[in-house]
Amino acid sequence: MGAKAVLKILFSRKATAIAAIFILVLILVAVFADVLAPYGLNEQDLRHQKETPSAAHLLGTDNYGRDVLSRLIYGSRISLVVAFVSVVVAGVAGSVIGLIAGYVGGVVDGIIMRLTDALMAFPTIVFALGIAAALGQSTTNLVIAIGVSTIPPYIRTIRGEVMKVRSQTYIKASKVIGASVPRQLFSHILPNCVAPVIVTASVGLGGAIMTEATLSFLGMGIRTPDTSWGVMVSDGFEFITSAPHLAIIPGVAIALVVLAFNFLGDGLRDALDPHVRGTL
Amino acid sequence: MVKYIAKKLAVSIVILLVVSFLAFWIMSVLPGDAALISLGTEATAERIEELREEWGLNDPLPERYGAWLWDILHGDFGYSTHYKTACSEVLAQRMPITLLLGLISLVISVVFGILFGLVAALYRGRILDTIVTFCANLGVSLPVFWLGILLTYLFAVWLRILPVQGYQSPSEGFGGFLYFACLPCISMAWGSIATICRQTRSAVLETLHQSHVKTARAKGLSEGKILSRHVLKNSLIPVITLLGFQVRNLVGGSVVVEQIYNIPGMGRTLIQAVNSRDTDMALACLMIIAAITILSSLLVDIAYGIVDPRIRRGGSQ
Repeated sequence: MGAKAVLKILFSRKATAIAAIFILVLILVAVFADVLAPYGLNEQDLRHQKETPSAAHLLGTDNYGRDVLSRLIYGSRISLVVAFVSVVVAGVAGSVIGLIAGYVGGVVDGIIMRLTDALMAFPTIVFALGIAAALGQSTTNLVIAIGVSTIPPYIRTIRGEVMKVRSQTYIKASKVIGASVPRQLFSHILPNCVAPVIVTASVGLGGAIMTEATLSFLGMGIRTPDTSWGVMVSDGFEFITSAPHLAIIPGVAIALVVLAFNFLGDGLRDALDPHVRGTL
Repeated sequence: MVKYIAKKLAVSIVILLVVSFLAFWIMSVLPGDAALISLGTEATAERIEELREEWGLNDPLPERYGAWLWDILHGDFGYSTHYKTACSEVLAQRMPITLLLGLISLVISVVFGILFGLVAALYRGRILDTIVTFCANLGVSLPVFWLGILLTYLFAVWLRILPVQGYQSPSEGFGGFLYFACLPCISMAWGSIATICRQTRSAVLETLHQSHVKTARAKGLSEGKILSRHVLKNSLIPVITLLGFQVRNLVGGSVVVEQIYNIPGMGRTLIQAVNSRDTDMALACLMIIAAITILSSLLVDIAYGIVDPRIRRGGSQ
């Protein structure tokens, strides 16, 4: 099935189409943050503190008189970059490990799967918290923490797929004609296992944004002067009685993005799943 | 069946051992020196070295791991450098709080998740289904901490009918307990309700189309009987699988929720311990969290084996 067919099914559903467009717009906003943000990231105006939305400050100002909309726009950069990079880290590492487990089987598979089970014993947020604390606080370490803590689903997904594909005739045939192991793995097995990984990654992007926000909220993530949406909610929580919009607005942004990635993931799963495809 | 349970139990113990090593390893590479933090920056180098020696921080990793594991197996979780007392004593106070709130949240999630999922499936395509499905999609997308903040704003700041934060144990009065526990439990359960609802909805829809339901209809069974005996029973199998994951999510959620509502539970203790490099305390919390999730997935496996005989005979799934 070509990319065109997938796109067609994807856009036949309103929710998925809106989600995809929303994410695209958001990426553009993050890329052109410098042009779009009406004020600077840390531009303070102490005469206008904790103001509610107005014409000058569309989403109001925070406790230092900084423009909330501008901070939201700049914050999207860190939130998105951390999410994308950590998903790539988790996806690549998880796929390679899962590929090995599924292909080699036996003792190696047993060890890898027990290790995966052990990683799954911790809630993602607890595991990420532990790694983030162990590595020390920085954006790179945050990416590693989120990436490593979300590897298990990829290992499980791709291992299951490899097990299914491994016994197919075309893999046996490639063995017979003397294809090397890497060639079997990467040009024959992997392309046939990749669809569910893409779905996992799409939902994983939403999860990563949520994990980053939560870690930042708990004080283990992004630190000032940088900001992410999680930091903004966390900072705003202090003023929940005097200026509730400071915590609520960035939270809406997080919820919308995660919702969009979930819809995209659902749409992709249906588009890539031959059982569902006919019934849409 | 006994053989199946024994096998699952053995695997769980192996996993718990692997977890213990991973946790110990992560905590051992934490930057910062527990001895230095405990004594403060004024302490002399000799005193720090002395304390490091006393706490065994200078021994090689495998040796320390062995000693620690041996102690844990004997019920000794070590000494908390932050609370200046035995970890087990701190845990004895704080673990019940987390367990109680978690259990309440789990029950809420299961009851409402299945109910909403069933309603959505039965009213498929109608306005009720749209509303439930949308709320469920929103539910899995809301970060726990933000939901907590939102609920605090709505009920504590705006309506002023519930407290902003705090905790009261049920032994001091059940009404007071509910008053404080209400928002934390809803914040924790929300996501799980949504996940269980989505799963129930799709499972019920799938079962409704199966031939045994058609047969039941054909022989004239009432809709109520079809639902309770044929549809719900078969749809709940995938929901049971989900429960193991939900326990894991609830434990993760408790870490965040306890922080927002200032509840003196295990999750808050864990964060405090990590921040103050209280290694023994953090490890104790990590091990208990892992034990809870591993135990719950063991129970799910056993329940699964009881419900579906194909599985305990080592079938395909």
